[in-house]
Amino acid sequence: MSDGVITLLDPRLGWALLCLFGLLWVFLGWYWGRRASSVDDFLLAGRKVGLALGTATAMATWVTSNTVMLAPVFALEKGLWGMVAYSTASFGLFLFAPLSRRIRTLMPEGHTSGDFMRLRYGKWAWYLFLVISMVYSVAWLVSMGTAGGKLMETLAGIPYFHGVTSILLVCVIYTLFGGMYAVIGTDFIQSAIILAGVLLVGSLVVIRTDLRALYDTMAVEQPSLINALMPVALLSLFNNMFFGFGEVFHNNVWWSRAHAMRAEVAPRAFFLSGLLWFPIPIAAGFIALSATSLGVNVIDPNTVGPLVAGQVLGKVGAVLVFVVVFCSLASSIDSLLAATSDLLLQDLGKKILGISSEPSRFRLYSKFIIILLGFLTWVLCALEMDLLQILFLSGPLVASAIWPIIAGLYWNRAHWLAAVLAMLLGSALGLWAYFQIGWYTASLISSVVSMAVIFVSVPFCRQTFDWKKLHE
Amino acid sequence: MVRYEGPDQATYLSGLAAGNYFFRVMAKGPQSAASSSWSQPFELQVVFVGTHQVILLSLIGLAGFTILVVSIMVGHRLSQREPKVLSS
Repeated sequence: MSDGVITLLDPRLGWALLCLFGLLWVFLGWYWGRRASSVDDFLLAGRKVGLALGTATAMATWVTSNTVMLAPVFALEKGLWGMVAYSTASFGLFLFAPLSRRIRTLMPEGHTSGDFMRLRYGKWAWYLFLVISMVYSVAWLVSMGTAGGKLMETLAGIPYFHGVTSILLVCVIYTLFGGMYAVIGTDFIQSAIILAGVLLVGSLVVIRTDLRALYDTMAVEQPSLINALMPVALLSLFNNMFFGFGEVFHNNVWWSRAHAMRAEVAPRAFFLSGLLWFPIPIAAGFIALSATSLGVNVIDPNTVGPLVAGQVLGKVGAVLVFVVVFCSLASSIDSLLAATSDLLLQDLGKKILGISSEPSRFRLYSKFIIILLGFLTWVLCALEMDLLQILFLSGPLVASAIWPIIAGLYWNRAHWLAAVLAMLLGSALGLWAYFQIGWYTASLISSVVSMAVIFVSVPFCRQTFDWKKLHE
Repeated sequence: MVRYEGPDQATYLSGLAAGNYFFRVMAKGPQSAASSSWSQPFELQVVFVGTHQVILLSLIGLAGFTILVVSIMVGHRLSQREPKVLSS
């Protein structure tokens, strides 16, 4: 950060908070991680996570630094519909509830979403799926690291690269210590802090804002934000919804949680986590809507949420936002590190490269991949790419996987070639829409194309899939 | 209308209605006497996506969402009748 720029927190206080919470997560990671004695313990927390921990980990994982930063951006750019659009990402959790039940029934000993694609559709769909999943996972990790670095800089004047390095280092260390046990344990505490923090900041901003003045100012200076028919906002509603479905349905973060929870708990935990997550983007978004009426000058839309919270609530607000941001960063980065290393190890390492599955070696490889992923994210974060661009470019890729997953789980006449074509055509046309029409149509187009391919193919499919093939 | 007055050297605009807007800036020192004159105005044109395109894509989105939800709900209901076959 350049000299002379005023930040909301004293950098020394920022570093103190960073060290305090960093040490806390590392200690808790080590403490809970002692229970992980087998590979299944390390990767899937022994497959016996209960309702409270299951709900908390799903909710905390879905509240990312992107939620804290992009939900306010959505509200600032697309108004009321923008807030609702971001909240529709919770629909992914609602609908993953029945899917998780089906996953546990079909694959009681399963490990990854890649396992499902390989056993259900064969190697070509599996390879393509792994490419899509890895592109998305790295994009998600980088977008979170970038968001975290920028927020640390805005809030406390911690230089961007120092912030990114500290956050990644903490998350890599405690994930290494405890695997999924550490991730789920810390997620429980982090989810409580995030939920209380965001709702408290949102409520305080509402209390300190004259709603009549807010409406009057917006009607004059930002009339489109309160226009119920704002075109881009309406389109982003569906686009964001399908992006959210794609993210949740395909990614191993959610599949690994489905496998980690007790079978009867998983559907309820995903549904409850969706309910708890739904108000968070609305609370975060409202903060941004009030910026103009409160006289807050926004320079970088990516930091509008923390900026308004800090200016309205002073140092207390800034500390609250800092802690919430750090918790949301840690709760998502650790989950993604653990689940992606699991996917790489099980699918790429074990099934493609044929590495040894001897438990002590397997765990060692898992730790090596976590470090490698952390390092890759750290290098890519140095490029300081645009947040929306990073995230939404992967939208059409993951949206193309929605229908191969749904059809694969419920229909015994979904063919492997249809799944491959659905992902290829969906991704291609979604990316075309991204560049030719706008990002707000990419996931929508991709999902609909993928759906059309699957529906058209089913009447021509002569083979009936034997579900028992999923028991490996 | 004064959009912003203060020490920042940039501002971010959003939520404008469709139309043409003109903006200009003035530098001010600590004392009001040390102000520059107004800059040449620059024009900003706000254009929205066409209505027909929005309606078409929204209907496609609504249809896609409905089919997706119905497919999962029907699949879920039907799958609950077959657990014995799967676990055998």
